[in-house]
Amino acid sequence: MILLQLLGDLLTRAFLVYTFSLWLSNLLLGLYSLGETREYLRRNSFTDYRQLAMSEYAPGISILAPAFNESATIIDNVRSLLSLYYPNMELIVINDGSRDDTLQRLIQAYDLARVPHCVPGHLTTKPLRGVYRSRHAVYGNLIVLDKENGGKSDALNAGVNFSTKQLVTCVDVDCIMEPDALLKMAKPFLESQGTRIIAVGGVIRIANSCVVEDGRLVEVRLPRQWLPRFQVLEYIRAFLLGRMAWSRLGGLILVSGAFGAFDREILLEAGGYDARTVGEDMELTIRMRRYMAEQGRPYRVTYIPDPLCWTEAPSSCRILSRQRNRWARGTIESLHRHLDLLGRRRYGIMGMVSLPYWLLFEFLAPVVELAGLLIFAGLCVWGRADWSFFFILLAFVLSFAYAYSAMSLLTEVLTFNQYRRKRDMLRLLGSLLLEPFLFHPLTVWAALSGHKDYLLRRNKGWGDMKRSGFARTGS
Amino acid sequence: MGTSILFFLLFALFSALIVWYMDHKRRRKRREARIRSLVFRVLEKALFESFDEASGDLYLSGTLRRLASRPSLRPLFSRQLCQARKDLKGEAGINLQRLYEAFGLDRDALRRLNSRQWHRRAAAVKELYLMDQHRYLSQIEPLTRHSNEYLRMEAQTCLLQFLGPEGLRFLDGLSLPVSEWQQIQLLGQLQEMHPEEIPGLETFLASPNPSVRRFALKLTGTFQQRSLLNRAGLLLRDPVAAVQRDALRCLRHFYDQDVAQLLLESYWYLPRDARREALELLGRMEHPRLQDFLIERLHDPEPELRLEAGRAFLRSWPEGLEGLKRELSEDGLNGALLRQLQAESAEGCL
Repeated sequence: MILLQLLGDLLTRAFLVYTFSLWLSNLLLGLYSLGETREYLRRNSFTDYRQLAMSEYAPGISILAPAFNESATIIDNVRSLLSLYYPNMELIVINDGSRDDTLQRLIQAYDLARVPHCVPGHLTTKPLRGVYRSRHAVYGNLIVLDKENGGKSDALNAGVNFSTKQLVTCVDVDCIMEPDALLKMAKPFLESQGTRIIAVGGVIRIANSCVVEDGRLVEVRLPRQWLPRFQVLEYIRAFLLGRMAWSRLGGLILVSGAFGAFDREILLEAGGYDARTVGEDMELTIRMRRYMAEQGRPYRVTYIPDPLCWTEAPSSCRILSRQRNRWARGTIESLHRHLDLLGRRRYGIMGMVSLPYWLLFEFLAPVVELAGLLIFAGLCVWGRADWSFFFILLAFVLSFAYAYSAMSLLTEVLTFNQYRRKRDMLRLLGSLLLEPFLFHPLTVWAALSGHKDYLLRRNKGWGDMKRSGFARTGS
Repeated sequence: MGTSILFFLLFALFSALIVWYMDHKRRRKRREARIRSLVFRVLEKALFESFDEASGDLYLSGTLRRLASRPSLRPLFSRQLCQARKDLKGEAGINLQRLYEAFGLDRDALRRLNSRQWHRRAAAVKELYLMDQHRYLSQIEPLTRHSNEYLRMEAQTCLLQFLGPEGLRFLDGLSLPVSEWQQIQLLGQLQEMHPEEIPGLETFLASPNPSVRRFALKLTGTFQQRSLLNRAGLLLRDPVAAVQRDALRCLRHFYDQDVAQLLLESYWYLPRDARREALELLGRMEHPRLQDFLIERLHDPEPELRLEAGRAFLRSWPEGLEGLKRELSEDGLNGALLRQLQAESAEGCL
């Protein structure tokens, strides 16, 4: 009995230490990001993008947009991407063996004709079925690749093979981009001196309930549904506080697959996207960093906090679970593949701080949370639960979560302030109070099912992501 | 428990701050709009009527004077005037400048120029050059070599604004890097001035600072400084790959035999990725040695370079398809390349 008591005490202490270090690290990251965001805004106040928009010296950007069964929205999405302000870009849409009429719709809408192709092929991909270009000069920078289905990474690799520009930007074809997104993405590459910028990440925001007109976001609105609203909070916390801090530290290991720019040369040298993982964005970022560190070349992965890309968040529990399951599997796969970098000084902040953090607080957090709950349930059944301690801990957990989320909202209001109406902000504060009870358990459960699928070697691929579409003007 | 209470209090504080800040922002916006309308009224007059030196305060109404003397509002006046100055040239622009001086806003900017915070200093420099305050040049010029990149960039822009192409003198002996971003900004600024000659350009091409050499190459190409073509061509052999790439881009602005000669001489010094661009460029030029050179390149180990050499060959000799067939066997990768070239040639998309 004494032994069990001792074990219980030990576990409780271990959980407490873990919880405190998780919160402390989040708090420190949050505070650390504030300085960087402030400095970014100051620097940006001297920035005039007009010269770059007109310059023949703007670095070329190839936008890679993989599409799979996107028939319903592909025309609008491509139009939106073609209308981005940038003087030197090409758009490569990769039809990844869609089973619907995605390709036919593109051919009709943009008057595409099949053109001869011979790709020397830096990266191995599933076979190409055809390359299409428009007969209209106005769509001269549009290339459509039709290939056998091989998944998102494979499609991106096919796009990289075909790209001719210095930078490649990978976007989810259903995202709505800000018109000046590419100008902002190109800037860090142009500002680098001595240190090579190998990748730049951008902020993703939630577009549910926002008004979209002709492929442009014309009015930002807070999602009407609860689930996307919780994700607004989550994205603000992750992008505005988390990634900004990692960027400042020089330890960013995730450039989002929905919108990120990469140095094509380094991407190719590092071997392109890994088609075997569902977390291809994180895996690629780590591998590119690893490659640069092993070559002994100074580099940086940086991040811009401007809201540049808007995406539709899952609004049903089923789709959200599937998405989070995939994210969890992607994280485990990336960490597993690069586990040998852990704690190695040669890989700098990535090896010493970022990877241990991700391992401890991203990968392990749902497991620890479940273990904690199970032990607590066991103690309850056994009649040994210390309720006063439980309530103290619960109060601590909730108070910290609320304070941290409110801090992220305050940062949003003080900086980019996308939700201008006070009513919206009050609603967000309200959602924040419910989030730990309604949203958090769902994401933990989905992450745990991702862990389980990974361990059981279940390859669920990407799964289907049903979209309900954006609100249009007049709707 | 104490910590939980602290966090709950923090939550309450942050929430209150959010609400307060949103209200404050709304109020500030309303106040700014009111002042902006007052400033606009003055600007309208400045636009349509000439400013009389003798009665310089003709348009400064009592309200405006009172508002302009309030320290909290003076930055707003500066901002509004600078914003308008960006869009106005000629007499109206000069009137704005006089108004700026009449309010004594230049002295405010000068004070900020000595601030310890870089962003305040940079903003002051920007304000002074937007308002053509040439008399502060001596205070600004040393900042072109300041360690803070943004402050340095504003000072460099200012020098160019005040002195035209002569303002590029800051590049002389500059050891700090000029980022590509800044190069594009300066280039855009210079393009608006349409200079025929850029003083010191030859010296800049020989600068020990690679970023200065790169910028000089951009200047040489953009402003077609033909007399410096050979000097620019030498940089195809520069030890820094980025300089070589810029030299190649510079040569794109001059299509003739001299350029082809320079490219043929320096081809082997170029980094691999730049060779593709060089071949593409050569395909648009004429030179007695070009045909032989391109045929040799058809046997390059890199398929991409073989393809580009084939394109260049067909661009220079549209009837040269038979020659290509002789050089490239019709099976394997070369066969695929050949078919690609044939199709491109047939569709006229070379």
